[in-house]
Amino acid sequence: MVNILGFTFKNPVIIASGPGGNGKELSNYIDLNRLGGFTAKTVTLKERPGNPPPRIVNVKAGIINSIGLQNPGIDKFIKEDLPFLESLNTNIILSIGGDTKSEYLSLIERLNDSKAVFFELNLSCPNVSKHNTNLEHDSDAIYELVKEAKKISKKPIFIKLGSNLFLEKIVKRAIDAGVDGVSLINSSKGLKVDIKKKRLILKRGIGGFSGPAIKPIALAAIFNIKRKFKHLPIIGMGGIFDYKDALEFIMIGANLIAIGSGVMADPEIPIKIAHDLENYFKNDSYEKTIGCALEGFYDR
Amino acid sequence: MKSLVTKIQTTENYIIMEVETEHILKIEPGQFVMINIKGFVFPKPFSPMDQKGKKMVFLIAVVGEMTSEMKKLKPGDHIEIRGPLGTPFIEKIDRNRQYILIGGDCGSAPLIHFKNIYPELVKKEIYGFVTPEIKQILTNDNLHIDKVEGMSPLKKVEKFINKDDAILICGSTNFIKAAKKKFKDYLIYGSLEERMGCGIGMCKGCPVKTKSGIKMICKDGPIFNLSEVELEW
Repeated sequence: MVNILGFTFKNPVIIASGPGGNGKELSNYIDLNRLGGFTAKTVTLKERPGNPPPRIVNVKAGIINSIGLQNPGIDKFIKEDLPFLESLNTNIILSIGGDTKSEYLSLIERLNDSKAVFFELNLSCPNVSKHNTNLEHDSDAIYELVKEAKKISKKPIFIKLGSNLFLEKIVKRAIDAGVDGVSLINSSKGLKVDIKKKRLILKRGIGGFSGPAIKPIALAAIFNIKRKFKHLPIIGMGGIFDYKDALEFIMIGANLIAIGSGVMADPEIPIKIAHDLENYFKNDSYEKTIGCALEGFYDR
Repeated sequence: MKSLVTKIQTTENYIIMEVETEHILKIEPGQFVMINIKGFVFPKPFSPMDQKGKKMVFLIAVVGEMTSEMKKLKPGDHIEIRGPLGTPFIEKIDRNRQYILIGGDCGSAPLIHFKNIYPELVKKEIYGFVTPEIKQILTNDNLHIDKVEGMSPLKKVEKFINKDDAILICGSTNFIKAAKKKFKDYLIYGSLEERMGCGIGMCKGCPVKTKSGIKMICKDGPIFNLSEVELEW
């Protein structure tokens, strides 16, 4: 059992936004109700077709994606995906994305009365912005967005960020604006060259790099945030493929751990991790394990 | 599922690998499995050329890092197999027709499987490879070698196709695009190739534009009536 912001999770394992889609396909392979939660794929106001193929590039210890937030838009999402998600006996987190503050706010209004426990504002998708920049680099814009979102939202607000040089500054501003938690980290930026054809594989060049190779980057990001902001709830993600990976995230301060590309490699990974963690925590306190590796590192 | 390599033959650019699965995986022609080998995190999709009981045979082109490593596998080595995935050809094609099967390189594999299971639906077969190298490991009367015949398999088909014929084709996207253009007046089903992520339709990694929106090749395909898809993007 995990408690965050007054919500109870059966276990700390959730599905990260994206690779698991909106759950229907994955539910053919695993019982989603066994998990602590499920984060829906980022929804935007209007339908997005996503980026042209190829969208997937395998590299050593990781995968680069260029999906580009393909999603049906909020109207179809509410009609076709939300009822399934709400029928699950697990916590739902809704991920929302937009180009402007008003788009995020409209989405919150549309989804405010859903059964979801949290909103996760996706501020860091590497695959949709022009020139590979996005909102996560603008701490003033994040401050404004979170402040406005908190005024209208009936649910706690998490923001999802990537690994960023100015992460601490951005999180500080988001906390000042009232953010309830952070999700760390989104996929990093990655690129692969086809040396036979002498050109880039992805049409946009850069895509979102995830998988085991980004785990140390994710842990470092969480380390930096958790030692500064001890009580800030964190959903940790980035290359979690087994329960030992998950434990590293929990020990560095993640309250929940989210499986992203792991579920693409093997849809049963989340269930295996939930099972193995349950065994592990028969002999150890979950509450005491969160952040235990940070002892002596907290800023006072 | 843990599976055992039981036989492997290789040339410079191709592999024929026989695998024994732990349990029987009943795979219909056109379906695929995700294969992973030691040292790799993410699996890749492969359609078998044959499947009986616990045995499965794959024809694989050595094109990237994983297939280069696969070439080094030996009988007794283990690989991971997940599947079957995808929609069988037979569920989407018009069963009242007979088909000319056109395979482009390793796209020939699922068509050879199809011929084994549904011979009555096959009028003629042609499996195109660029060089004779493939003949070192693949025995099939219908191999077409571009460099020997001095033409592409599509050109060869053009010479004998009748106006009532239907086509079932599998190969690279460029090969299928060329076939769609050349045989635009025919009923033509194409089994499409794309880099895949999850293989089950959730990650949205293998899209194809269709008249009814964007579909996933892994889940909604791999086979499509080519009149319904837009291959330029």
